[in-house]
Amino acid sequence: MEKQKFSNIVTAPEIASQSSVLYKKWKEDHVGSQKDFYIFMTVPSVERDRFLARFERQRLVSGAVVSNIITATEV
Amino acid sequence: MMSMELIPDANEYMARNPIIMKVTASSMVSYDVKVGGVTVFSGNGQDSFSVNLAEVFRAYFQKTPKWVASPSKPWLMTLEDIEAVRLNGTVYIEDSSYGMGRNFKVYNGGVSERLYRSLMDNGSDIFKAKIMNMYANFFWTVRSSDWRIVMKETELSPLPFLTPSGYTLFVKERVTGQQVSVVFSTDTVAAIDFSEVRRYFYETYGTLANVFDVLIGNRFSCQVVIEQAQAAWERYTLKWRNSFGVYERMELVGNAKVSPFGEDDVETYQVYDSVTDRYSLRRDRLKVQNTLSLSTGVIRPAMFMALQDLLQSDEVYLQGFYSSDVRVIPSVEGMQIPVKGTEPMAFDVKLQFCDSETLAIDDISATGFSRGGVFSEEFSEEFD
Repeated sequence: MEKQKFSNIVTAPEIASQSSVLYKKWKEDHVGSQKDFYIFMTVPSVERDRFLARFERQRLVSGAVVSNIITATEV
Repeated sequence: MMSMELIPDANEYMARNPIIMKVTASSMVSYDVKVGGVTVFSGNGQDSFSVNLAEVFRAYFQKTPKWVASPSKPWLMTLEDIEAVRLNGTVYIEDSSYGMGRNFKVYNGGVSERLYRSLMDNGSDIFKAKIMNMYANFFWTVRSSDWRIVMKETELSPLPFLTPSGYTLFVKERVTGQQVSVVFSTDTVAAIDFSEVRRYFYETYGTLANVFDVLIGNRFSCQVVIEQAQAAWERYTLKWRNSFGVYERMELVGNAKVSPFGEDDVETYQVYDSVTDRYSLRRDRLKVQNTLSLSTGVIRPAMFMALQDLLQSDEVYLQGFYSSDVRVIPSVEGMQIPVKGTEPMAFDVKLQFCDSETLAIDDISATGFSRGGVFSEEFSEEFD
């Protein structure tokens, strides 16, 4: 058993209203439909982390829950 | 004269908690226990006697809960056969001159003896405190006993509940405030599939939300949070039947290593060889009982109880190892859970496959022998 030192609940990536803009950016180096983009965004992968790292995110903290809302603005 | 009472006095019971029928009579009394109107158990008693009916009902939960999505609301699911989780029970007693009966509903599952006793001491039960408490976490999950339910994005499965008849249930996402709703007109068992709720909001409003408030009418009941899971090269899930009698899922990560051969002695025998006039050694095909070692990944203290429930469950399946689910017996060696746990921890889980094999052949799918196209899903046969 190993111990880790964090206890916040980080939500899976969230998008407020710019999913179509993010989809277009995703299409620049991926092949697939909106449906594929949805699967890409909802399945954890190194590729997803790499893609999301390009964008600014808005953090909303509600108690122990930290929401990561991805914006379409590139870092 | 005779009388009958059920302890606790209620209309709903859990099959893994006591349902005591107490009969007081002055002569011989016979009783019938019915499931769905069919007598499944009969007995007799003299004077005053008590019978725990829970054991009778427990034996009649033999169906697997299978969820079917509602055609108009894909995020709302109903059971293919409600008898997988709920039975209509009847108990009828009679003596030579008089008969009386009671109807009630029995749900698969139960609560711990400690909680059962504590609720009884306070004049409550699990139905009043949770399952039929519309303004609390009424879902049949062991992930959380408070108002916030956290599920990793890789562990999503329908969350069952008893529908509050005559009320409207709302699921509201927290990113932009969009909501879906459903009005319940009957008392039944349904489930919300939050992966489908999330898909609905994405396809309808372009919003990808992972925090949802559940409301009954205007009042808040509980919150469901879909937590980020770490990227992992290998990921499996364990599906287990929880204390409420429905399935939940927990992910396992790490490099799975199978130990197919145990330490059992190899069974050998000798065959006489007439050419050399000697005995030669042979063995039967080896029996293989796979054992798998994996990790739960880092889980928060709230999930420790869920892990304990998983380890206690009598029905656990490994998903993602073969093309179909594999029934396993999970264990954690030397498991120690901090009583007042504040730090997330990871546990190494050992999974023993329930079935042993004497023949080894890899999975063959329905299309296993046909050559796939170059881009099979994206392109037509003509293109290939």
